[in-house]
Amino acid sequence: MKAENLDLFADLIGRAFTHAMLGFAQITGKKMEIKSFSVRTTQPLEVSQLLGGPDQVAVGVYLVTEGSAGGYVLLVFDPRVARAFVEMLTGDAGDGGKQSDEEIERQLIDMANGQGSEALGDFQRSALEEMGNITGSLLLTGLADVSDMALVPTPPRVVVDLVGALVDVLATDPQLSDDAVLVADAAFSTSSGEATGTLLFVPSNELVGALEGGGS
Amino acid sequence: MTGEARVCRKVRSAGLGELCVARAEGLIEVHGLGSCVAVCITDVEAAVAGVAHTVLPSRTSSTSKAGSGRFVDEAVPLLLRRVERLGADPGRLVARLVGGADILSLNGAGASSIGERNIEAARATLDERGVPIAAEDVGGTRGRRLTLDVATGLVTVRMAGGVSYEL
Repeated sequence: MKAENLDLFADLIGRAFTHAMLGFAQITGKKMEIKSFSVRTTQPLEVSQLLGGPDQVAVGVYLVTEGSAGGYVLLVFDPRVARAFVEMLTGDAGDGGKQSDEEIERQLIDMANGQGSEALGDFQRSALEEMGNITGSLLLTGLADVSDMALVPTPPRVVVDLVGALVDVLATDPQLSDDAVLVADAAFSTSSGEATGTLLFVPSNELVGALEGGGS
Repeated sequence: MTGEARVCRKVRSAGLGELCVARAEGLIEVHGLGSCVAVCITDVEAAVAGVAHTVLPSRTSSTSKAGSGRFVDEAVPLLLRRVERLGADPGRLVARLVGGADILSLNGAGASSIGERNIEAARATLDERGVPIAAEDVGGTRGRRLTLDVATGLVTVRMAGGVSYEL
């Protein structure tokens, strides 16, 4: 990927995160800020390792663009971070700090599957979806303007699963670029805590071609 | 390493698009299987086993650069050759399939998911080669991890948040 395109993605993702924070503030009544933010590219086969390894359980929020253009936007949170993140949003302290990794893993999967006493509630799921929705939509809108392509995202989907399984979705779409995954790491904070998340964007070959051709 | 077979000694992992074969002892692991399908081949009598961590059913023009271990229809014949080279008898080979999930649950939207297409490609390719499928743990919407014991041919599967079970 050309350096100017990386700069473009960094700028768009930074703006998208900033807007997402404003959106959260309106939903939750809590001020949220980005404490740090960095963007880089990596190879698809290395993504799992960046996220803690393929057997690590994580929370993913997907946005997929309709049609062959565009690509996938995936926000990934470590389960503990995801839990802390929704607690930050909901103000519910929970008992996550006392649980083992396996208990958290099982509980998060039950939550995501709508099972158990703490099934991922509408508000918590909405908060995670909204994170993906605002961030991903703004990123895609910016890219649509630059590339002159119609990039319409599907509604966000929240999935809790093994990192390898989450990333498989990106590796198995033949429309996606073989050699460019955008990785943006961000740390967020509110008055009640801090959380980190990783945004992955895998552009389609068509989008990369349009950007490298200078648009159209 | 993509598409290349390796002779394993103790515990080895077959990553995305990789083949791994072993003889006599050791474990072969596959981590974080989603829509990918792990094709496990064993000849218990010869204590030879191998796994292909396949990603897509077949090669397309947009994936032409990728190694052959990524594609079910290329990886399975390659894996069979590798295990036979290690001493497996073609007449004793049996297969087990794991993976092929539809993580985003998009299957209801109409078209077959990649996971489903991978499963079908694996079944068809094994059938063409006359290798029986002894067991399968495929489909669904959850990721899996697996361990293959080379000496015994036992395949152990675990889903995220679940318990391990023998296939």
